[in-house]
Amino acid sequence: MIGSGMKRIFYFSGHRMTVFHWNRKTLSGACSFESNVEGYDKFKQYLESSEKATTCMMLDVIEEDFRKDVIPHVYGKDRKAVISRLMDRYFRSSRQYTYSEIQGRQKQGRKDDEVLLAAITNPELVRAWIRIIEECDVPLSGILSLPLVSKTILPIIGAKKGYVLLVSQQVNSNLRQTFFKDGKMVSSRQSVINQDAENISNIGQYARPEVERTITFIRSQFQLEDDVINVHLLGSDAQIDSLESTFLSDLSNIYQVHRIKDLNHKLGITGLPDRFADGLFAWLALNRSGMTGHYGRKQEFVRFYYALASNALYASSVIVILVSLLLIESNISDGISYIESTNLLQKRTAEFRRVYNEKYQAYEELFSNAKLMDMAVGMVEQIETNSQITPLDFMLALSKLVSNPQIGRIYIDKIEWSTRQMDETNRTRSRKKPDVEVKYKPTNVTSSSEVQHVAIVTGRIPVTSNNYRESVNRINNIITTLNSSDRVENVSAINLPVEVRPEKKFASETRALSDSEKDEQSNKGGQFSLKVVMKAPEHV
Amino acid sequence: MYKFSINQELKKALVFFAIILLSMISMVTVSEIYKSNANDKNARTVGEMRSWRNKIEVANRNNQMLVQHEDTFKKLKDKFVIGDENRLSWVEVVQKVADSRRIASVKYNIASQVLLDKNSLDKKYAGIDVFKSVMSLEMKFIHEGDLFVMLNALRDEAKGLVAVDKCDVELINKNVNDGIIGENITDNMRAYCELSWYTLKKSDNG
Repeated sequence: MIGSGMKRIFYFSGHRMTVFHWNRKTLSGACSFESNVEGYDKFKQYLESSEKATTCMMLDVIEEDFRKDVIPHVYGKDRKAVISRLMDRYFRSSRQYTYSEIQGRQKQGRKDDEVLLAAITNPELVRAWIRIIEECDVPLSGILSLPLVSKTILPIIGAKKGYVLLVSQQVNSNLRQTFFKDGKMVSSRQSVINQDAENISNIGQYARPEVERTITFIRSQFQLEDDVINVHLLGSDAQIDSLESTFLSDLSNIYQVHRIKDLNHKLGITGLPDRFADGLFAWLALNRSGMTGHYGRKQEFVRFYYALASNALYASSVIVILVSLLLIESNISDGISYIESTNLLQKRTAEFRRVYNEKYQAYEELFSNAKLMDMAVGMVEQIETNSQITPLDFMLALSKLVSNPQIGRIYIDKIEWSTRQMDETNRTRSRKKPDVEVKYKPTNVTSSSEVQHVAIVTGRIPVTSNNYRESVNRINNIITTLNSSDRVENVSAINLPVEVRPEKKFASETRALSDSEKDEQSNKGGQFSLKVVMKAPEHV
Repeated sequence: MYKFSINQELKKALVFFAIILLSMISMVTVSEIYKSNANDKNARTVGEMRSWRNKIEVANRNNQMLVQHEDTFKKLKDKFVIGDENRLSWVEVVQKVADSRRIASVKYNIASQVLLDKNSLDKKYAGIDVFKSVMSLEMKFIHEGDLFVMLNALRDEAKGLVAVDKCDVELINKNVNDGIIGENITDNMRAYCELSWYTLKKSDNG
């Protein structure tokens, strides 16, 4: 059974399928199944009896081939098409079990892209196991290649730069050699060695010819005659002595032997047998970043996608629950706040109601008249103010003005007095447009608009017989003097003793008069009518 | 060819998600309703509280107004400015002044009382009906002072609120200007004036 925190990985070495169970960083168990009918059956029984947890598969098979090639620097569909043609050319039978990786660009020439092509040359070898996994409904998250995964160990062994040949042994009968340049995988091969399964301490003598053969091949293939190749060998405690005594560094090949136990310790993983490096690579594969596998058909991972979708839905459910709980909590808190506030408000309302009922309710009818009373008093005040514009005020002001010595002798025979009031609507408009004429209307004593005296003043001035110019001058003098007063708004002539205005008619007679006739004409003649508009007194 | 079908695990997750989603939506909706109801009730209570507070404020203002205008209002009622007009008082004042000043001729005429058009009044006086009675006064007198004594007496002594609308004053005896006054002259001048008496009443819809 696989509990929470448990992970597992299927490790297929070509002859055997091993299942590693990890509990966090500790290998909690492993079991192996041979590649035969019996092994398949047992594997199936195992899968059926264990939890259908998501698992990935790592391949370390001799039937895996790598090629390095260059393609034109293109993108998207074009790149896919180019790579697809390359795959068809090199690995026609592998189709779904191929992998490509752009590793950079050439620095010279067309600056083509460098591409690493990989393929399982005999997919049926893997398919036999995948079919069982599918039958058992186990979600397969990816099919990984050990050589491709093995680059993740380079930083751990300090081999990120230069030419590196990583030599490791995952089963006693095989030796895996992977060649890297500046951390990027260039090629890999697995070679068969005849090592005894029980005694692995003599690995040096089996490995040396294979490594030398590989180095020779690499040097010729990649033209590295003068370059140093760093060979990193992974070995168990039992193999260290053999490896160190067999592989001695020289000028062109530097050998470094790494104890598997030390690497496990460095990675913090425990419980691994340090006999071979399979467990170490299984751990690296299990903890790789990203989800992309190297091989396989999409249909083989559909259960994994289902599992992912299921997990996403469960996670979404949890998020929905959390968000909902937050919203519910917020709503309930708000609701409680409102209820508390309502209770307080109800108490205040009750207090207001009590105060009103006790102090004011009995006087409601009386209060209803208060505004009316206010209005009535206001209106009476307004009428009283306007009624202060009286004929007495006008006559006193006029009397004072005509007493001016500049005017001379003048008789006032009749005054027709009334008032007028400024039309406020027109006045408002005239403020916006200063050129609009101010209009007046008959006085409405309830209005607060300015009230003015308007009077037709009829009178006489003594005139000298046939001296029209003097009469005109005197009348003009009267009008000018009245107009110069601050109280007077405007004075206009209605009738003049001598009508020299172009719009008026004028007729007279010139003849010789006796003295008595002259006196009579002096008293009767010189009649005029003026329209005098006067402002209200200042206190109004 | 691979046959697409939703597997059992995904189905379970979907059903679980759907149940959770629906139940949470229901619970959130219920809590929203709870909050909304509480909020509505709170808003209603706030409105009710404000209404009572406003009533108290208005009552206070009215009370202040009553205190402020009570005496003035009473005087206006006593002076027959508010309520029904008192024509007799006006006539008595006219007769009294005519007698005391020995005015040669005083003719007066009081027209029927009319209600002023509401549209001619300021909107702030909407609750009041304003009535106007026009009194025309025709006098013959020796000196213009007689006219002004008459108008002042009407304003100050008569029961009512009066405003002079127009007044025509004419010198009959032109010799007065030259300082020649006859012994039995009683009417050097004549005047025709129109006065408006205003009374205020509470409007029917006020």
